[in-house]
Amino acid sequence: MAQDSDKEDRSLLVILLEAHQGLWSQLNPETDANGTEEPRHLTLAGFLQQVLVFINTFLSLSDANQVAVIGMTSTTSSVLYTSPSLLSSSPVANPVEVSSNPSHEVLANLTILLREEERQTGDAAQPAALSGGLSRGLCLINKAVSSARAGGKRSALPRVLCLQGSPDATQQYIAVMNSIFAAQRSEVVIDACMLSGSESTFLQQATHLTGGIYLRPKLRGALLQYLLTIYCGFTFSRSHLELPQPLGVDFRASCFCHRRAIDMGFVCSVCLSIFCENVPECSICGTCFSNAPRTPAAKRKVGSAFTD
Amino acid sequence: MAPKKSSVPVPENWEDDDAPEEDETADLEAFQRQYEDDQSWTALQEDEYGRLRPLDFREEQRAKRQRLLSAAASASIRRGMIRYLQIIVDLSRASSIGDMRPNRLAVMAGVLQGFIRKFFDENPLSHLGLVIMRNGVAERLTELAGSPEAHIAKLQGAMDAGGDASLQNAMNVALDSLKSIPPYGHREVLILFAALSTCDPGNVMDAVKAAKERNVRVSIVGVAAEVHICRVFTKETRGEYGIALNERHFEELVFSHATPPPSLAGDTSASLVRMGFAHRNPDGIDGTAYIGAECKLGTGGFTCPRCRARVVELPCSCHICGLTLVSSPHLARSYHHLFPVRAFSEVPQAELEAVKAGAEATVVAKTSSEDGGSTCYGCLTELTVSGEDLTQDLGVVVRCGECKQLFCYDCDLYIHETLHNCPGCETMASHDQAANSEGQNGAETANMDED
Ligand SMILES: [Zn+2]
Ligand SMILES: [Zn+2]
Ligand SMILES: [Zn+2]
Ligand SMILES: [Zn+2]
Ligand SMILES: [Zn+2]
Repeated sequence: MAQDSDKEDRSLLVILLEAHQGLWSQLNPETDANGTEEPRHLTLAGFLQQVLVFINTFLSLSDANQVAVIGMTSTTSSVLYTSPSLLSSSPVANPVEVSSNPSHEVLANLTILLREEERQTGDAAQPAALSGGLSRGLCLINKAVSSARAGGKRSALPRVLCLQGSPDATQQYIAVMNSIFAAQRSEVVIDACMLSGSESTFLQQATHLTGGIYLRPKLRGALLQYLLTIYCGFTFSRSHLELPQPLGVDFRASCFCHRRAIDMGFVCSVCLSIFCENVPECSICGTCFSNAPRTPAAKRKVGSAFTD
Repeated sequence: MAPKKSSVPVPENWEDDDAPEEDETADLEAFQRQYEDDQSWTALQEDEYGRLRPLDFREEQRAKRQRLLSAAASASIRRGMIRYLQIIVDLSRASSIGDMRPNRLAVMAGVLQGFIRKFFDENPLSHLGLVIMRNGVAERLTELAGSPEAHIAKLQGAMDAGGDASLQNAMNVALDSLKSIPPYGHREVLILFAALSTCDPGNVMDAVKAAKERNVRVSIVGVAAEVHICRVFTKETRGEYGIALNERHFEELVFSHATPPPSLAGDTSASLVRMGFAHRNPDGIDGTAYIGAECKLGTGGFTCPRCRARVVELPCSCHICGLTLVSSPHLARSYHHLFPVRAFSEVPQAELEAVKAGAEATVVAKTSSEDGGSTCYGCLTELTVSGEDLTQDLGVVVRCGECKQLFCYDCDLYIHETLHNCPGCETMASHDQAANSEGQNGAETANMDED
């Protein structure tokens, strides 16, 4: 019995860090000389310190716990760190590998990532590619789970923790939803911690659909406290804890024509695109809704529909 | 692993032509496969984990990719997203034959359960109903409805076979229930057919004509052999007809119908459907109200945006004002059909070696091993074989045409079948925007990404 639960208490945690430089000036508009003392403020250094403590704590809970850290900037994403046991191609490799130091690797690779970003673009205000980070994380999890299954072992319970700071990027809507559904199908729990001042509908829906926890901490400077009390424990233990309850989820859709959030609208019966008013022709699939003869499907304007 | 004799009892008067009843069984038995000659274990080898796999697994991977490619090519076709599907299950005596193991009935039931779940996973706004053919009559098992578990429960209670199959009776029942659906819905019938004959009260061609007139697409998956009337049905109604070669092929054929079918001109009158996006109420005392048509006092539920009535679950139509209520994830679930991931192209082994050589040269300058060219962009698996160790071979390696990232075979399948996002392109997407706002060339930045 005890052995059984020991086996099950293994987690595979993929942490998505939104870490581009523009974020920190956005989060702390009034730059303070001693900003780190102010509990509402969070600087990149403070953020990394707290996240690294969290990672080390998580790893020390069980030597079978595995971590992957994916850094996301506005231009690229990069896997900053993975537990050695996660990447070893043969599953019989010794899982107790003491040589790797997550803190050093994360910092070193993050420096490379940020330098890369600086080199590529000056516009750091772009939100990071959440969909890209989620997709890479899910690929990693998929590989880990399927190779564990092929080796006849039960894999560690996978989950994703998003630490996001910038508001939702509406042009990523479909890609993010695709990732959420993929996570749902492979029973991956998505947790989210929103660092910015506004709520994130993407992350709210992601946590709701996959059974994760969504949190927007009031005191960002005390991030570590939130991380340790809410996201560190094993998924099964959550049912015994008093955790933050969601205040309803906004399932309103946004129309494809103006990106307005609507609670009643018109849906094209062919492609299920959403419009806020009665239109004669679907701009996505080109279907005419009048009785006029159909025109051949107009070329899809994916960009125009989702970027504005 | 010794080949077992078929578990179907051979009738005692096996070659006795006197009894017509037995004769028919004997006819069917003639289609039984001869497993005695089937030495399937010789075509297997063990890999490094002790898994069994076919000798030419690369060829198998290629074949599977080929199917993905053709699926991606047809993705630009418009599809019927709001479907009303009647499934007709053949429970005549032919379905108790054991040429599929343990018998056709058990295989059909298992596959059908999986199909029902997958159907609602892919078509959350669609409806499904079950009809069974048994003893020459057709019986409506479930009405057209949205909940998968109700169908599966009913199906499990009805699994015994006997008598003849009647296509005409079954089609009449199916067409009858498809009569009252909204004009924009796609009417479909899927028949799982085990028998080699149909025993009808009238002319079965009348049913073909009726189906054609009402724009009902009839698709059939046979588990025995091709039957002319099935071919006529599917040809006239522009459906698909497939004959299962074995259990796995049967599952593949049935599951292919979970994807929305291409929408043909004149199939349905396309229209804009008014829908409401209901708000999820919080659980607890704040959210307590009378919910649903039964007026049960409860918490949670969803609020109709038009009349503020509360409903229990989505999707449904409001019991007060009739508005179709959905949540935006219901719609978003099918958007990957509209914007599919392009098929990746295979990278030849020689090119991989070159890529690897290049990566090793640069790896000194770059401490991080990832993005180094020879690892899978999704799961970071090493893609090139080290030395002559063929057991480490991972198989086909592919490259995304858009973002030029390399992927292993497992990730390729995962991306196209489950994820529906290319991780490389998703990272590039915002990348491109940033690049464009800088007035930079997109190709330039793509190159920078690679080195
Ligand atoms: Zn609009
Ligand atoms: Zn449309
Ligand atoms: Zn209503
Ligand atoms: Zn891979
Ligand atoms: Zn790509």
